[in-house]
Amino acid sequence: MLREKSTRHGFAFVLIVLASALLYPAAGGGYTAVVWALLGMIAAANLLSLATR
Amino acid sequence: MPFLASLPILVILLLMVGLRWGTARAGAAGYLTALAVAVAAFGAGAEVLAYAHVKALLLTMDVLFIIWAAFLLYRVADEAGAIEIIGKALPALTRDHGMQAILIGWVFASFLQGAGGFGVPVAVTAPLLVGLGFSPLTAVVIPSIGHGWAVTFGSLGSSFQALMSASGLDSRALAPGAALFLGLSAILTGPMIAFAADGWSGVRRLLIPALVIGAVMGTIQYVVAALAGLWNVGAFLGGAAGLLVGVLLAGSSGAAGRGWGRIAEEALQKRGSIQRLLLALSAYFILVALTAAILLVEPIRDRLGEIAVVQMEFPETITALGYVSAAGASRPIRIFTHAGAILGYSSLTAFLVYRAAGLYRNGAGGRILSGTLKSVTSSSLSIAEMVAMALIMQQSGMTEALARGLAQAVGGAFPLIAPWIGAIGAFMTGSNTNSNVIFAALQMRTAELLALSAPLILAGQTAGAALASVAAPTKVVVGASTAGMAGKEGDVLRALMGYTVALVLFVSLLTWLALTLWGG
Repeated sequence: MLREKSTRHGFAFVLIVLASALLYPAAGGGYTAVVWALLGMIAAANLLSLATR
Repeated sequence: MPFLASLPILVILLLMVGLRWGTARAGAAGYLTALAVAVAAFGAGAEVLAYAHVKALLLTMDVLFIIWAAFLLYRVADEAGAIEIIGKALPALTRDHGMQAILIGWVFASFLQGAGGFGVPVAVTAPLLVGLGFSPLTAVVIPSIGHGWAVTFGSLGSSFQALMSASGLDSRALAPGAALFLGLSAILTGPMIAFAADGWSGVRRLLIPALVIGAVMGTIQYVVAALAGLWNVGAFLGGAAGLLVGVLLAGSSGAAGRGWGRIAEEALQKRGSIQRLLLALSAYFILVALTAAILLVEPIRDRLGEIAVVQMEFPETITALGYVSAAGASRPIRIFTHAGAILGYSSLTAFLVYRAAGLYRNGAGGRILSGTLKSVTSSSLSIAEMVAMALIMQQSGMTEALARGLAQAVGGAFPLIAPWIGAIGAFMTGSNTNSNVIFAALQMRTAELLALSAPLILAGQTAGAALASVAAPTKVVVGASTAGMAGKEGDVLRALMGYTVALVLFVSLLTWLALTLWGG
């Protein structure tokens, strides 16, 4: 599914947007583990967009 | 610490300029570098990073709203064949390639910057220049350099508003210096456009019209923003005056080679062509009319502005090293008066006009939407990455460490450096507004410590930021994708770098000179 660059970029963008949006309630509620998990998802989305093909 | 703080920027510069990576890949590398440095060296914890990302999301959406809508407007016009019609019609005004670059890539782009904002001038004019036979690289470079002088007082003054809010100074203190520096930069920009379009022969041939147009635009902006106090329409009216003078010069000068009499005679003979051109241009007339109606007519602006406002409250955050980001609300995003919304209304209206005129084939709506979606995907990801990087740097204290390191390293030469700090902020965030938000307070405090005029230092800050914002990767990616240069953003950045550095250097010298003469 993620072989196409445009699909990969679209997927990474949506992942960043959703995870960033969820960070607000997670940080506000003091759920540190959830915050780190969401930050990990954003970092993974960025790693995905580093792929060359 | 300043070196570590500069690493994300250095990584992006190296990858884009040196290795010619596209913005999506370089942005991801810059983001990951910023994240690692913020955690490992600046003590950024979960809360600091979480709120940095939420702020980044708001800013990203604020910016992308305009970009998506700008692409939509372009697709609406392009699907109707309007871009092709305009591209074929403009040589009727002047056959001089350099003059076409001046009219479209400088004057029209500046006018669009005054009325619109982020990415619109390049997104609209670069395809027009490609249609006129300019190489895609030149077609992106010309309007990018061309609209820089209009950024601070453009977008109906949003960057200038940010400067006033962040510094606490009013327009009477800030506008004269900023309008002076940017007006003089406008005059210098003209010969640069002629050079970019046609080399030194272009400069020799078009120097006088370029200087006249630049002087008119810069003077009108100064009079409107600094003397009349109407800073929100400074670039808009400056660009409009430039268009008027530019069209007159193109029609009457030797550069046109034909003259107004001949043009009028041909126009009468080709009434159908003129009508087709006006119809093709209607999308842009609609954009200007709706922008003026919504942003300049107070009752309309106030009523629409109240309907849907996105604003979030953020608590104070502190890093392990003690860097504090104060609690406060985000800048309100007024959905229905947003520049993106105005572009959206314009797109819909233009679509209906073109459809009523029979300019669309079957399935045009679907092609417009799918074409827009395809064009904006990579740009959207790049911008999300870059803005997140910038906000991590800001919230973790990296931006402050970088700016302080720069200022301390130069000491008494701070007036020469202040515009470069603004330029770095704009390059990182792609926005004159963001640079002003991030650096205005720091610049003002440093000026006070050094007993320098804060308004003049802040004029250097915003002018440097305006001129460098056009070379920011987030803006480059927009222009590149509209001119068929997607994936070659590194080439565009390399081509822009020389002009941008020259213009910021010019503002550095102006800031130093102004402070020597008037401000300590």
